[in-house]
Amino acid sequence: MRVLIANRGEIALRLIRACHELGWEAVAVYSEVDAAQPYVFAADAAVLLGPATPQASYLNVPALLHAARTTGCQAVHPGYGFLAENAAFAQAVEEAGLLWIGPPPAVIELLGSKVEARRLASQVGVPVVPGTEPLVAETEARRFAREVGYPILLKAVGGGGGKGMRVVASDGELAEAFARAGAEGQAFFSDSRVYAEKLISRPRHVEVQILADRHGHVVHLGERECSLQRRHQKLLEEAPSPAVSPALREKLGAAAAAVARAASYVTAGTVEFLLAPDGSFYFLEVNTRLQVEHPVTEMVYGVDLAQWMMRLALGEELTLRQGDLVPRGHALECRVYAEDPENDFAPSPGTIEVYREPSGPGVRVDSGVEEGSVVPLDYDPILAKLIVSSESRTHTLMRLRRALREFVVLGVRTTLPLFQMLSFDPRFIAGEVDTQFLPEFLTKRRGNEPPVVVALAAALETTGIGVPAEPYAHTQELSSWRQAGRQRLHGRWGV
Amino acid sequence: MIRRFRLAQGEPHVTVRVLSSQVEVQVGPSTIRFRLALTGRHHGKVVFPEGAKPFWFSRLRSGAWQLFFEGGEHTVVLEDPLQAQARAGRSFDGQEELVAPIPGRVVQVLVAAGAEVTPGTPIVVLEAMKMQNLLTTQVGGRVREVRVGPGSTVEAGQVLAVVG
Repeated sequence: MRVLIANRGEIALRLIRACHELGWEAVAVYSEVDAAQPYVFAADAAVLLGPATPQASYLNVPALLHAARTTGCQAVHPGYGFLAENAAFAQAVEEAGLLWIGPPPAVIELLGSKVEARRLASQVGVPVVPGTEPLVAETEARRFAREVGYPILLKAVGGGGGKGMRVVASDGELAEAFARAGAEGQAFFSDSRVYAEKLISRPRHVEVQILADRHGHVVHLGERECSLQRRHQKLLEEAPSPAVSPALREKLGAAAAAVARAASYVTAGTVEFLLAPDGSFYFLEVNTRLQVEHPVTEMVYGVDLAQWMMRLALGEELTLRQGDLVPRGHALECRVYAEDPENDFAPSPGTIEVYREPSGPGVRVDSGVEEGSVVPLDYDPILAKLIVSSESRTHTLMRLRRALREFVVLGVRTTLPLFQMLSFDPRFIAGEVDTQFLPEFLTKRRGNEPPVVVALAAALETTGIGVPAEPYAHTQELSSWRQAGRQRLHGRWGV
Repeated sequence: MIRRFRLAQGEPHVTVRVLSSQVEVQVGPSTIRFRLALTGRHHGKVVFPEGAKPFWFSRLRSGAWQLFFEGGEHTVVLEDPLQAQARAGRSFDGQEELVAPIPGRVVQVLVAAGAEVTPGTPIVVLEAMKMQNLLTTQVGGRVREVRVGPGSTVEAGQVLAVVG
C-alpha cells in the first residue's frame, strides 16, 4: 500500500509514521517553502506541489491528484485542515480511482452542514442547543431570542472555527450582528445563511472520539476536554475530562455513536458537545477528520487512531469492542504554536535557532520541526504537540511541568511559556475550566522577569553578541573578551 | 566597561559593569555578579560562586533577548538609552532622562532645575565632532535635575538632565 499524505508539518509526519508502522509506504507533498521540513525527508518519496500559497500547493487538487498518480499511490490521507473536510476533494480522489482515507464524500457533505447535522442529532434523540433553521430575516432571530432569552448566538450555516459567529446580548445588537455573521459566512464559506442558537453560559467543550467500520460497527473512545481555547481555537486538551464521570461518559459516548450510526459514518471522527455546568450536554457538530488532539485519546485508550483510520478506510472490520474500551490514567496535550501569547497570539514566523525536545517517561512529542527549521507565514503556525501521560491527572500535571523544563524553542515566540504558567494555575490544576477560562487567564499580566534573567540579557547585550556570523570559539569567557579588547571580539564574531 | 539600559516595560534601570574576572549587573536594587561562559552560538553557562547554570539564548528580530534559563523561557527587552533618546516622544515613568546621544562636551545648559518646560524645549547644547547639537526634551513638565554644567565631558548614554 502506498499513501499520499496531502498535508504538511507535524500531521504529515504523524501519518507517515502510521503508514510505516503498518508496513506501508508514504508519499509526501510540499510547497516551495517546505522543501526542507522534516516530514519531507521522512516519506518514501516527495513531490513538489508549487509555490507557498495554499491555493497553489496544499489546496491544489489537480496537483495533488497528479502527485498521487505519478508516484503510484493507491490512497490519499488528507490529515486535518486544508482539504480534510472537503467533500469535493474526497469525491475527486475516489473518481481518480484512489482510496479516500476518511468518511465517504456524502457523509462529509451531510455533516459539513451544521443545520443538517443538528437535524440528524435531533432525529436520533441527541439533545441539541435550542436553535432555529436558517433565518430569512433578522426579525425571526428577534422572535427566537424572546422565546429562549438573551444572550443568543448567530452562526453562519457553513461556519466553523469561530468564523461567521456573533454573540448577541440584546435586541439593540441584533441587526448589526445578523448582517456581520451573514457577510462573514458569504466571505469564508460562500453561504450567507445564518441561524440562531441559545448561548449556553460558561460551558465546557468536550468531544467524543468515534471509530466506525463499513460493516456497521461503531465504538466510541471516550471524551476529550477541549475547553482551553482562544479565538475558538483549541490550545490544550486532555483526556479524560475532569468533569466527566463514567456514567456521563457512557451517555456522551452513546450519543456520539448514535449520530455516527445515523450518518453511516466510516473511519475516525469526532462528535463535539457543549457540556453545561449542570451536567447537561448538547450536540454541536461532527468533525469528519482526524483531530489535532487525537493523541490524548491514543494515550489513555492505548489505541493508534491514525492506523485504525487507515485500516477502516481499507474495509477492515473493527475488532475493538466497546466493553473493552476503558480509559487508563490521564493524558494532556499542549499545542506549541509559533505565536506570541503575550501579544494577542500574533504569528511569530522566523527561524528556529534552538530546538530541544523533552523526552523520558510518559512524554510524546509530535513535531513537524527541528533546529534550523524556518516557520513560514503561509500556514497554520503549529510547530509541535507535547503530549504527556501518566496514571493520574495530578501526576500528569507534574510530568507536564517536568517536560516543559526540558522543552527549549528559541528564535520564534511560542505558546510554551503560557503552558508553563498554566501548569501552576490553581484553577487549571483543579480542572475547573470552561471556554471562558483561557481569555480570563490571559488578562493576568505576567510578572516581571527575574533580576537574574535581566542581568543575563544585559550581560549578553554588553558583550556585543548578537547573532554571530562566524563559527564560535568554545568556552569563551566574558572576562577574557575584555582583556582581548573589542577589536578581537569584532573580528571573531563579526559584529 | 559600563553600560546602562532600561527595561522596555518600565521596570528598574540596569547597569552592567564588566570587571576583570566577572560581570556585575545592577537590576534595580539587586546586584548580581557572575562569570559568563559561552559554549555555542546559542548556549552558555552562567557561573555563580555556588555553581554554574546552563542557558540558551536567541536574539529575536525585534531586538528582544529570548532566554531559556532555570527551566523556563524569558523575554527581556532592553533599551539602549541612545535608542530611547532617538525615538521621539518616548518617556519613562512620565519622566524623561535627557541622554547624550554621542560622546562630547557640554557647551551650554539652557534651563535651570525647577524650570517649567514644554515638549521640544531645548535643554542642552552638546558639542561633538566639531558640531553643536541642540538637545530638546520630548516631554513637558518641570526640570527635576540638571546633572551637567558648561564644560562637562560626557559619554554616550550619560544622563544630562531629568524632565517631567
